[in-house]
Amino acid sequence: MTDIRYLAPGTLDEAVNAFAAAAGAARILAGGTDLLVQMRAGVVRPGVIVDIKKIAEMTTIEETPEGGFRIGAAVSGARLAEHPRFGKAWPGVLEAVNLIGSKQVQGRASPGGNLCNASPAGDSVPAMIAAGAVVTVQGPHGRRQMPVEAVPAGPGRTNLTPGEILVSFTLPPRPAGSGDAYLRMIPRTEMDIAVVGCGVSLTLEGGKVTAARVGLGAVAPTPLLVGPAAEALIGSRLEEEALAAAAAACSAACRPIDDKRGTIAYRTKVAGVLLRRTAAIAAERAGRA
Amino acid sequence: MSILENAKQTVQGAAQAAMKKAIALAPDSWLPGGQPDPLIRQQHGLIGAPVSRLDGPLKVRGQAPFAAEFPLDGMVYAAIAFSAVAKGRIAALDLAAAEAAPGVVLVMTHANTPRLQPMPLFLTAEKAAGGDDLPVMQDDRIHWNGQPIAVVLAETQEQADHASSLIRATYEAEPATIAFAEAKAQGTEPGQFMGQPLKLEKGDAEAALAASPVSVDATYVTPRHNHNPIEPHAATLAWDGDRLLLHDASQAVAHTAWSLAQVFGIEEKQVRVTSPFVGGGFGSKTLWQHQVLGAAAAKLAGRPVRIALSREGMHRMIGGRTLTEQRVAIGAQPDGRFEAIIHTGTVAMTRHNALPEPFILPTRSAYAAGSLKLDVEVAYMDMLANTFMRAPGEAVGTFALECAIDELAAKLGMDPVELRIRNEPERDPVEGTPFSARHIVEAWRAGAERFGWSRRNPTPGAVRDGEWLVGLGCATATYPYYRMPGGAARLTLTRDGRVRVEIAAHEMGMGTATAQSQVVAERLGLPLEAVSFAYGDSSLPGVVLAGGSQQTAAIGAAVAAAHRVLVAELLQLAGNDSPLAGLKPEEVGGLDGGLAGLEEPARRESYASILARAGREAVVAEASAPPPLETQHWSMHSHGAMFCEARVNRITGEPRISRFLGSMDCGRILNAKTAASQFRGGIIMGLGLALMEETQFDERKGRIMNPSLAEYHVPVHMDVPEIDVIWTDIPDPHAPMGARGVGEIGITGTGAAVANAIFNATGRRVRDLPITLDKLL
Repeated sequence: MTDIRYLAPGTLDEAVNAFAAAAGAARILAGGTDLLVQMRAGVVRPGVIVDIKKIAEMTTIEETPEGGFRIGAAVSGARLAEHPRFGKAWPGVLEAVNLIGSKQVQGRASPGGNLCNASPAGDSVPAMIAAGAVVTVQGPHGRRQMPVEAVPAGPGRTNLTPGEILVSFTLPPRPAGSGDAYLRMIPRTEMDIAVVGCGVSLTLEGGKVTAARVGLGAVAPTPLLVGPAAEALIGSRLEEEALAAAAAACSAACRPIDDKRGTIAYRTKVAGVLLRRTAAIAAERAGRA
Repeated sequence: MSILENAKQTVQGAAQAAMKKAIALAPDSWLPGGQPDPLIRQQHGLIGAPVSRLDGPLKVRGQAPFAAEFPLDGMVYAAIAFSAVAKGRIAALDLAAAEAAPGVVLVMTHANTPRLQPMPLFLTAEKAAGGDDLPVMQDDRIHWNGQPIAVVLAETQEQADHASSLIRATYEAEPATIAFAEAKAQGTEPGQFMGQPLKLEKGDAEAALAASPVSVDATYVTPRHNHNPIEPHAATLAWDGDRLLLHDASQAVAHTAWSLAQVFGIEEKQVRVTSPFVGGGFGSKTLWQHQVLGAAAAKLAGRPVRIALSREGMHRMIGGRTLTEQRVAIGAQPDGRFEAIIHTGTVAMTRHNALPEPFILPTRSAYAAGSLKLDVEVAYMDMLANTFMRAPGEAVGTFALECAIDELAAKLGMDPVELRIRNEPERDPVEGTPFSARHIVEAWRAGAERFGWSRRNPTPGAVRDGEWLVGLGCATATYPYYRMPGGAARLTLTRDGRVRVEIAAHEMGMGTATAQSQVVAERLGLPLEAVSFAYGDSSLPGVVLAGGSQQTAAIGAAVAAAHRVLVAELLQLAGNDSPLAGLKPEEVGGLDGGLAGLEEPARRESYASILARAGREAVVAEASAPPPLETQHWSMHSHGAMFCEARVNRITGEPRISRFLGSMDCGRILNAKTAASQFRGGIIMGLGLALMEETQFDERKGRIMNPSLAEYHVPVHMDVPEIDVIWTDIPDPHAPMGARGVGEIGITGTGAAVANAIFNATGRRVRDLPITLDKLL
């Protein structure tokens, strides 16, 4: 605690330079709701903390000319909830982000931090995967983009290269007839970590699914994009057969562990259950009714 | 309901006849042939009134100082480093970085800790308070994974924590017994509880079981639990020469003072322990190594010390409830009468503590049975000393026993409430003594009516609400009445008509000071505002443990004894010029701020007048409570009928509790509000026991793996439904104030009521706690 340097740069370039210069000894501070807890527990001992909340690009929500959204990596859950249009376009992503921690934590916690913390059970990640979010990353060698599901590498590890900082999420424009949803299963009724999290995004035309994406969390070392589940839904009218196939695909994708909150068998089965429930909500929001 | 109403009307009738009369002195003993406490006839005064906690405003304003909030001049802060192996010795401690870290005052290890005696182990002497009797940082031996190996003192808590993290220990580990199966295989020994073997046989229960037409026989398992009161353990302390002042979070101030004196080889009077406010104890707030280490380090540093445990620190060094593996077998006739109850099993314990979780206690007196076989065996492990945790024995013992009764009821095709009532004993089944006051049947009837028990469908899995399966379950709650020796109190009556009560008792959030102020006001005929209640200080009279649900009775008996002395003194002072002249203490009582004749209330003089005429500013009376002989003449227990409605999602297995009712029989209730909170708190802790609490113990390393509230789950608000609580309010004629304790009983029976409701909902019988969703899938 005595030897930590705290930096709060005003620009992304400064942040990247400071982060890269610290050569692995630095940690990025967005909301700090994971970092500070880990520091107190002695899990991480950074020499430098780079606070990114003073950087405008990291803390703003923009609507793109194409009709999508660009969310700064350090935007808090509370700020996202207050946005007049974001929750209408992406209710599933919003509810997932808003599940991170308590009301107080929501004032700090961000989707960028949730992704980079790289917990297999991070709530916002499956919803972002379902949404088809693309992240922008900036490092010493410039900017690049990657699909959100490519960021986590394993529990506590990401595929960002040394010195790279997650800058923002870009969510695509929403065609008419689209809806998304996120559900998680927790043993306790609140203040708990998911044993399964499921995000589903659907686009329907005349009751028929024309586009679908499915993200699953807490069932493998990283949150998963479940292509076969989406394929089972596309072209269907969400009939029992299609839902059963998608649920089976979700269960098949699971590679979980047993832990205090749930067994392998439990997680595997409930992944399919949540797919059905989440798809139903997403379809409702897409205007199937 | 009608039985209850009748009982209430009878008591009310007696009360109305006695209204406007002075209240006679309480008896000086509770023995056969004696009179009950006259307070039990008072129905319209302060006794039982739902008075809000008197310390509520202080707490809301942040003006109630807790142990870690006392400022002391020149104080330093302590941090503790813990062992990472379960057994062996410390080969080396690298302290260089820690000692060089900013703000560090000293690092204390076994190399420089002052010579100390081990803590007197709880239950081994009248005032022993220690959680273990190991050497405290006196040598290089390691006894459990999590044992303190070093204490850092620094100018700030952050500096101490940081320096502590820089300590590098290397160990010579030795083979440790850290797997329960291995411990059992090494052989078990019979458990002892308060000097008595936890073993009992009445008749040949195994033969009776085998001969019974209907029987059940199953094994129930309960896990380790860690204490998690809202206030972590802490002490702020200072030496003044060879006198120690310790601001503690304590439920045993006098015990702690005496025990610390033994540790440091000084006189009991040289140690003063205060504990004005405590954020929950539940059996954990006794003497553990942190107070000893803090005091030793303060001696070494020559400065006051604050030693406040982190949540992880609590899990490492404050013991909790140990695991149990219990067999319950019941043999019955087709009409439900029990021929045999067998309740045996094994618990884990250490060689350095004294509490084998006494799970057979509730079975001793709960039901009539032709034969009984009870036995608690102990398997020894190398782990943190386990200790008392809310209703030790009963909390988990009732889970096994009351689930088994539910299983038997299902087999018999009998209603589980009726099966219990069918086996209601007339006298204590083991001791043969009469019950002092046992109204469990009234509690069952009143509870069943209020809960709507008659609407229960006895067929498991038959009631559905969408994808939820709904079930009702019930269980008996039971906890004994205790009153421990050592109670004493001082009353100081002043000329302004106020009284100050002083007793070394404890307020851990239960409402003790409030309820006892009501009692004192009623006894003395004073308004509540005229009573002040001083407690939480070992320099006050009495040795009063806030444990075993005995504090209410212990304080009540001590105050009643002091009151007798006070009244005698007042009559002497009143002399011959008083309307009271010629009256004996037994002929007067408190009324409207003074003493009055019991037969002639008009013969009255106010306290202020008596003192003014005598030229006295105050009268002080101190006395000890009579020995607690009542428990030798009567079988004294509180009871409750617990009702639960559980909902289980048939697709995801989520168990949710939707309704709960506790119908309690605990004698006279002294404060309807604080007692209801005690019952509810116990029931909530019981819901945690049923559904989520579990210390995860790594049987490869002997380490507790979930030392935080993020991983050690207790119920959150959304897990707790509205909890309804009712009580018989029938006074126990053989207890001070007619009251038995209410602090622990709520957790008893609750786990079984939940498990039985889940069985009724799903048809699935879960015999290993906690009942998590994966067990219901």
